[in-house]
Amino acid sequence: MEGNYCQQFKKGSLEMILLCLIAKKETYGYEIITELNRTGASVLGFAKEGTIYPILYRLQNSGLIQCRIVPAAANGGSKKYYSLTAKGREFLTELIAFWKEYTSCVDKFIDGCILSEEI
Amino acid sequence: MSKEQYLKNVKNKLLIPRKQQSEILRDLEEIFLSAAEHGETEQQVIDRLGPPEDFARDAESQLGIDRKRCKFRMILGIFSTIAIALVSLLLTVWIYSLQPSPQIIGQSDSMTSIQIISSSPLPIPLIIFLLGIAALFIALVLIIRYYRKK
Repeated sequence: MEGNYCQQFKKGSLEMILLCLIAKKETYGYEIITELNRTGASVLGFAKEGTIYPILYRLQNSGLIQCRIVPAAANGGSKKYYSLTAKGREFLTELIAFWKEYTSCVDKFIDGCILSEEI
Repeated sequence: MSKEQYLKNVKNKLLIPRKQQSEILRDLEEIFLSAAEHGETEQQVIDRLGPPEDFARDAESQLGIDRKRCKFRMILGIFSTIAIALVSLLLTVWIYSLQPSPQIIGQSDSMTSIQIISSSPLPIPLIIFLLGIAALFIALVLIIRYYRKK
């Protein structure tokens, strides 16, 4: 199952998943990764900072998300909180609409595809 | 590898402007601090992050940075500083070769009452010479930086 195909699926949907997580509430890097792993690790594999941060940079660079830096009392450092921009909200709405259309379309093909139950 | 070492290695590999560089380093700092808060060791975080080169490269490619163009600009910088250094050092040599020697007056080695007074507070040949040295130094720094980031 860990073929190239599945990798491509995951890659394509990860940005949308990140946007959804950020849309739900203002959040920061570690929380995003924890949440990703809590909900999706079994299917998506374990999320790593090395994968997530570069995508966050790109989303921010294209104006879909914004961030503010908040001093963190707990560890003496600071945390970068991400939220969606107006553009990001609009983009995500369109993306989700397309995703639903896309999956229901693909599902129609899957439904009609009867594979032999014999192993 | 320690956290400091990791951050330093990432920094050395980044070709992007300083402002974006410090942004990435700040984020790495946060990654380590948040992980520590949840009981993870530095080594665990480093294992998960992967090699510093890869982290730097991925971050740059997602920021839309063209490494080839950055490298080209660095090489251009090296060559132009070397050119400035060469021109100013040659100019200094040339100016000094033009200057009359103190013995030229009256072909005598005895003292004369003629004094040469410079019109500017700092002699221009000296300024040009220092400029050349500075350019040479900058070129050297740029070359070292280029090889470390490659």
